[in-house]
Amino acid sequence: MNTAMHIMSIQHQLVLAIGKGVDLKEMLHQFLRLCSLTLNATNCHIFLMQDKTNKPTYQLDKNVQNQLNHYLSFPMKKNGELSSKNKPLANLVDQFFDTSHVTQVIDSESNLYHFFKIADFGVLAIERKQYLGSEIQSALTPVLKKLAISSIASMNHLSLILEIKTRQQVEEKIRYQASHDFLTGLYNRMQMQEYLAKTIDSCVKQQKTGAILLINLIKLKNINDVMGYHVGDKVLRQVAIRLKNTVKNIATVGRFDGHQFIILLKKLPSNSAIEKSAIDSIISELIYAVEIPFELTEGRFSLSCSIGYETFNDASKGVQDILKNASIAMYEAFKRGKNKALAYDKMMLQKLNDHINYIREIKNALRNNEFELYYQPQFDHLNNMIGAEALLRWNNPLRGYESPAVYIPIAEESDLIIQIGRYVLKQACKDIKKLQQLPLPESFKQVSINISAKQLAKHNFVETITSAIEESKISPAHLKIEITESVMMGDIELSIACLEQLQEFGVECAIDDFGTGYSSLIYLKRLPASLLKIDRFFVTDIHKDKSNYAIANMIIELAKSLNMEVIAEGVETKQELECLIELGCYQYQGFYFGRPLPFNKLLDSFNN
Amino acid sequence: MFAASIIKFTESPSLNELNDAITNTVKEGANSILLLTCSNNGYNEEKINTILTNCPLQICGGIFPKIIYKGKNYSQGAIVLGLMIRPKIVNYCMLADSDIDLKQHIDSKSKQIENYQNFIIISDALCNSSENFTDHFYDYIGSGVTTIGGGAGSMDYLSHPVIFTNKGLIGGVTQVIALPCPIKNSIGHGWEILDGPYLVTASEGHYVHSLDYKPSFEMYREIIQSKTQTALPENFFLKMAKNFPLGIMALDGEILVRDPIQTDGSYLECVGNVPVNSMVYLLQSDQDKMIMASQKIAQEVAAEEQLNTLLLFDCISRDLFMGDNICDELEAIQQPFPNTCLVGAMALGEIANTACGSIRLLNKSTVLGSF
Repeated sequence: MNTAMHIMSIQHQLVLAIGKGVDLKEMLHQFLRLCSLTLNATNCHIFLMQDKTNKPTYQLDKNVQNQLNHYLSFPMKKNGELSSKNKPLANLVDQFFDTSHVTQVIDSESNLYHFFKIADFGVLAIERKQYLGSEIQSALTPVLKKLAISSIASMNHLSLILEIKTRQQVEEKIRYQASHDFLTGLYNRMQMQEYLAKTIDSCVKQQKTGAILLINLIKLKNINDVMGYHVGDKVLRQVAIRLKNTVKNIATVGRFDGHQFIILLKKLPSNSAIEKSAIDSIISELIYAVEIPFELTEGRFSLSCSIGYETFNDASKGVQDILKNASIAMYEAFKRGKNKALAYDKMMLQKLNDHINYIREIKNALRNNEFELYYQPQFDHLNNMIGAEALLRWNNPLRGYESPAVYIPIAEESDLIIQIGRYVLKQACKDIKKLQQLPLPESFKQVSINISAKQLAKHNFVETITSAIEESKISPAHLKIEITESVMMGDIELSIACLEQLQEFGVECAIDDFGTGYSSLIYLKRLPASLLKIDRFFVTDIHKDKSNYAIANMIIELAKSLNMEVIAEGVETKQELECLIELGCYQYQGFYFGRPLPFNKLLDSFNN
Repeated sequence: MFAASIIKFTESPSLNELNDAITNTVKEGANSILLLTCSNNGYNEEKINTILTNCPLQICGGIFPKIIYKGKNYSQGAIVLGLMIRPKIVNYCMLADSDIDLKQHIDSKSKQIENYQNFIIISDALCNSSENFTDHFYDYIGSGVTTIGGGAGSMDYLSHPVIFTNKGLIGGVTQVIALPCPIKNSIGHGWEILDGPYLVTASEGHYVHSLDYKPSFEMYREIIQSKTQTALPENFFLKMAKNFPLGIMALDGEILVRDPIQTDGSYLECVGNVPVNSMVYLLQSDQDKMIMASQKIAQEVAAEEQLNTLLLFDCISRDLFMGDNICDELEAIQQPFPNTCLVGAMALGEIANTACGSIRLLNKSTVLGSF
């Protein structure tokens, strides 16, 4: 009677331990502890099927490699050795698990093990000094059933918790990604816009002033182009760190766009003079931070920046207005040169609108064929026409002829220069075709066209030229391209490669505006150019201006040493011509010989 | 084989004498000191701390209701046990916020003694988590180890600092003295089943709320009344509970004694946990049986070879039960060891590993160890 009650008592105690808690390890630990206590065990162990991440599992999918592994012991050690490392025990458990027995007693090397299966996914091992009676073994059957059910529940609970945790982590990641720039870890534009909206509200409520600073990095593109985007990205990350360190806690930094950063300043002093002084102080620190060269394993890189900013202290301007104004100010600052900063003012918007309208007009001009090519003849010292330079003219229907000095820089800012360049190339080829049909003087060699930096940088630049020549069925020798030395030096290796291909095709190249840039003599020697054009600046008053004389002389000598021809631009007087002849320059272009002519007039000049 | 320990005994509660005993033990070449003193000494805390912090050797031990020296116990005095070994002493703070914290604390602090197999454990008996400590410590250190020990404190059941350390006298700790030499131990009590079993239908830690679905005190009273067949006085619990402890029977017949020490007229508060759904018995004994049990453990230990130091933790409740006759028990334990001096303490709960290996908090028991 007492034995039966005792067994029932043990059974109840064990069952009660199983129901406590949902954490599998904690629940099983409590169970093993009680097993040890009530069953007078020296050590109790649980082995469970576990997946490759050692997570206990009860789902026995044959396609998945699960393994029966040690999970828990009470106590953890026996004779100082961890039970989890007891291989003989693990082997015995494995052997038992593979049998059809639900329970088994094994006397192995003075250890008396009582094994019980926990459903089909685990084993309970009880080590005792004496055999457990068969009654108590039988009494453990319902205990093990409950243990299996509770273990499954705990595993499910654990999976659920893991799933929730994973989902939370994913959501957290998504939230982070939605508000942060992946490259720099700074807030992204969307988040900064949110912060700006909140800051506007708080500034209005607290009667404080805030400001948005937009920072545009100059020359980052060069780093990307030359060294690759991975290096450019490294620089961007460094810039982000520097900006954050510069503003510390007084402002919020974000990445606005590719090479633009945004800084939100809050609670600026309401006194406008102090406010401006505070902003100026931060700006100078920011410029300084960007200016310090970036030391990377790939090399040392320098950047500059332009900063535009807009302040706010009331609700009259919304988020987009403030950003737009800061952007306009940044653009204006950019136009003024590196490391300039400007506050937005209304005039900037007017200028910008004008600018936009002007771009629109250029686009229309291209569409409406308002552009035309004029040709400025080129002569030798014997007054033979040796060629002509195609010059773009825009006959604006409202304002008449526009100066190229106005619209070319604007076109160069945008991709319009590519379209214009394409027009010039095609039109020049058409005109050359017509010239080829004339009995041209033997001295007339070719028509030259100007190439912009953006055209040269296009991957299909060579192909564009050669295709135009082939489509027009003209001789490549009749077209010469003129590229300024600064454009060539932008990416000298690319320039050399392109010009070599064109030279091979038969198109010659002239270096335009020579003397105004920063040519490297080493590269100059490698450039496959046949002609140096002395910039008009050095030709003007050459007979009176000693320094122009000296420079022109040097260029002419340089051309000779490089086996290149030389032509002087902007020759306007007889004295200038005579001086050039004296220096050994025998090709000219300028008003002294003739103004740029419409193509028909050029044709006429040949016919006459 | 280690040399025998140096033993200094004083019946005096004087700190000066204690200090002299420690100084002499150091001079005689001991490598560490286990200090057993009586709570009645009423040591000045500041002065004892000075002695402890100035001690050049590792020092450990505790203050107990009584100390045992050569077959007698003393309610005043001190024993300075100069050990020739260098134990590793770890003091565990028992004031953790939760059982999980206590387990983590034990796990992290026990790393330094994980390779030891023999321990003396002295706990502050007034810490409620003493039994949880033994459970967690056993979980960490594993089976196959040998432990002896007991609860330090005083019979006023008030919280005092009772553990000796080199940093002073401290409370709220359990001290584990890991020995680099083997301990042979034996435990006994002499209590037998009078009645039962009764199912513990409600309990919480060491509070037993109901037995067989009846308030435990009421049930306890009824059983004793039926067994003694006399009218029980109003204060029967104070007078008679020491004669009728409860016992939890293990599967292999061992009885784990649980001493009821307090009641509010409904529950019984025992020394040590009584799990819910466990079966408890009412126990009884007499002096002869208890002394016989003690003789048995002494003979078991005497059968072993190593007898450098003989350390006894005897439950103070046995002293209360036997009165002056406790000397018979102590002499019975000393008797098989004519050449070895028995030292020890009358403790508030004993600690030892049972036959199956688990470290348990015992009541009304005798734990004898030799090392």
